Amino acid sequence: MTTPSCDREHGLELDRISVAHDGRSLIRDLSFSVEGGSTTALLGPSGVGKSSLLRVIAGIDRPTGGRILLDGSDVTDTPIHQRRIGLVFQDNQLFPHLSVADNVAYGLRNAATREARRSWRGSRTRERVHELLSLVGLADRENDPVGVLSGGEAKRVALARGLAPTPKALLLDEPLTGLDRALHDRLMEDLATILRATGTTALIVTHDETEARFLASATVRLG
Amino acid sequence: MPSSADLSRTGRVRLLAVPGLVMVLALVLVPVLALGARTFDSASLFGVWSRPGIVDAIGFTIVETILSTAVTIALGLAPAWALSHHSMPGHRFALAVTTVPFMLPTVVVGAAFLGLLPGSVERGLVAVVIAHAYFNVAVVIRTVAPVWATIDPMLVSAARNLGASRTRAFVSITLPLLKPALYSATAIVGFMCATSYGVVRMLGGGNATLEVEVYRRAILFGDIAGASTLAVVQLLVAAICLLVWTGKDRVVFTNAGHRSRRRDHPVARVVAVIATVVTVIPLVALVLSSMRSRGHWTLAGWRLLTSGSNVPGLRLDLIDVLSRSLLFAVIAAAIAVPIGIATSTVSSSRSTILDRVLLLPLGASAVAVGLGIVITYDSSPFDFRSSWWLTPVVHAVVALPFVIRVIQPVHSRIPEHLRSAAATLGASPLRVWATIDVPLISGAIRTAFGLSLAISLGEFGATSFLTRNDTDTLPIAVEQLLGRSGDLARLAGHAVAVVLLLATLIALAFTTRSRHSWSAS
Repeated sequence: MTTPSCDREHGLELDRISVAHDGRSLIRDLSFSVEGGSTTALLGPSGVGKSSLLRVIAGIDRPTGGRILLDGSDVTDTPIHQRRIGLVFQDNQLFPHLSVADNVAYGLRNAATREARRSWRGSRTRERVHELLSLVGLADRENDPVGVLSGGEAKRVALARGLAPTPKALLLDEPLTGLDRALHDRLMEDLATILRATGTTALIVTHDETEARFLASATVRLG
Repeated sequence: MPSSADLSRTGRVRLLAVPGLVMVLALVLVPVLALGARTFDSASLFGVWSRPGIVDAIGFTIVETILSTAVTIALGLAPAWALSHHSMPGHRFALAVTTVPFMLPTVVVGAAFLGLLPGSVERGLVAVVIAHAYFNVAVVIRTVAPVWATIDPMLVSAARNLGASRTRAFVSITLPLLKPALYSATAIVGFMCATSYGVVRMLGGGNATLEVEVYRRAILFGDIAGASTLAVVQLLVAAICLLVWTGKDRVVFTNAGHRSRRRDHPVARVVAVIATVVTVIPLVALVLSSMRSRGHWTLAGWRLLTSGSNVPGLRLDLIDVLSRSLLFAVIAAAIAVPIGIATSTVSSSRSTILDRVLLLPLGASAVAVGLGIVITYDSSPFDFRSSWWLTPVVHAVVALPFVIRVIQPVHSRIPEHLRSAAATLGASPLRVWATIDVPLISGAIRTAFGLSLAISLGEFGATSFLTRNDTDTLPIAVEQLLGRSGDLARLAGHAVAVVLLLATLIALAFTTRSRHSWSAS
């Protein structure tokens, strides 16, 4: 099993963060923190800016004000690819031209330093990919194209891909939306197990109170 | 199981394809086969390759094709990216303007660059490559931009979130997803450059592509056997290239739902503005060079066209040539569009073989067709070489595949239940066609008409074999005037090119007006 990857002392902290989308202010002066190794749920109705906030934390968009701290360091101006905050997209965003294994390995091959890239070459990458796909129950689907996956399988691959480069924090944008009830419940249990097992600092966007209580040790409400 | 009435009706509907088939067979397939027969009969089948100029033409064709294609793809990527941003202000205008060069007559593009480029490079390889890039960047934009627009920007964000730099995200995500579109663009541009005729006649200087060499052998040297051999070899090479291309996996990952998610980008605006300005500059240079000689403004070229001249070799009546070109264009459109409508009615519902036969004029080089017609229809009762009507009819054949390509997709998307509904309300098949089909494809018909006019006005390859002094068209006049020495001829040549440019733009206006017409999706 993967060892805990985050710093339990600090985790993720938002300091008076403001978010706008298409010129419209969505969030103003929001502050909260996610303790290292714990999971926090971000609750709120549709359109309140939950996904926009995740995009800002991940570095896809810039905040209109405030700071983002990761393990005590200000990462507000850190480029997205150097921020080490993973994001599992609501619609997965699996790379359609790559296999399941290549999707999961993608982040490993982008390691920030040359030494790290070298260390993730060849068999070590394959082992890590296999380990993660086993964790999400898809070890036998490594060579499949992602286009043939079911909705639940695609979400599992997206989760494995997000975990692969051992991010300091992982953001999950409604990871259980769009699944049928049985699959939703099974994946929710798996997700809780995986996040606990990997000791990942996680922020989960959801509009489902039950989901939030099951997965998270703390909640933040927007709107 | 279809009833006998259904079968009878199907048989009658198939008859609609006959006029188109006859035209393509008579004016493309038979002439090309005649060329092949001439080559087969010729003792020079193998000996032709040692004749002076042929190896040079092959070498120049290969070099200019590789260079032109590489430059075109490289220059086309930035505007393709910029114009994939649908939310950008002026997006449609920029797309329309940057597409115009591909629709322009090759001689207009040639004349524009003769007016724009400095004397040291205005004729030769550099000029040919620049003109080809100008002409074909639209292909890259039109092929790549729609695919780029459907690549969800979030995929790139996902890659960046997983640690990829901008460059790596482009190379590992965007480029592989664009690959099928890039293959297509490369194949089309390569084909266009390899079979280039008008641009090389105008700007090649002493160089010739195989197409130009076919013309030179046939018309200047009287070496019909050598010209036929070259034309057939080129047709075979082109056919092989097209077969290889069509055999490639051209599956493109697209998701039209992602289009609206692409956001405006300031750099995209700048690139789009630059692409638009760069597209317009040669055309402005063309207009200016028709009025400027040795650093002074002059209307001598325009006066020569409007009031005539006694200078030997410069006798040209603009009104006469313009009215003839317009007449030919209208005749060509009047033939191509009804046949295209009739053919689309058949081919939208069945027979891919029919489609392929009707698309033959796209693959066959216009020069080969022109030469084939000259050597095929040269004896009574089929000696049509001096018949004035041959030129507009050949223009119609050249335009036919484009007409079908415009009308057929729109026609095939008309929901069958609309026709059924009309029939249940008592409409006969003819009335269903007139009241349902025709109104719904009227926009496509207007587009096809404008496109036919533009193609006929600019057609140069086959026309250069078919016209005589008293049947010259505007492109022939441009090439003849700009091929002569002297300022007056150059000024007049540019002036005729300006007239041809304006006539073509007016014809193309038909194609833009019809954008608002119905199109089922």
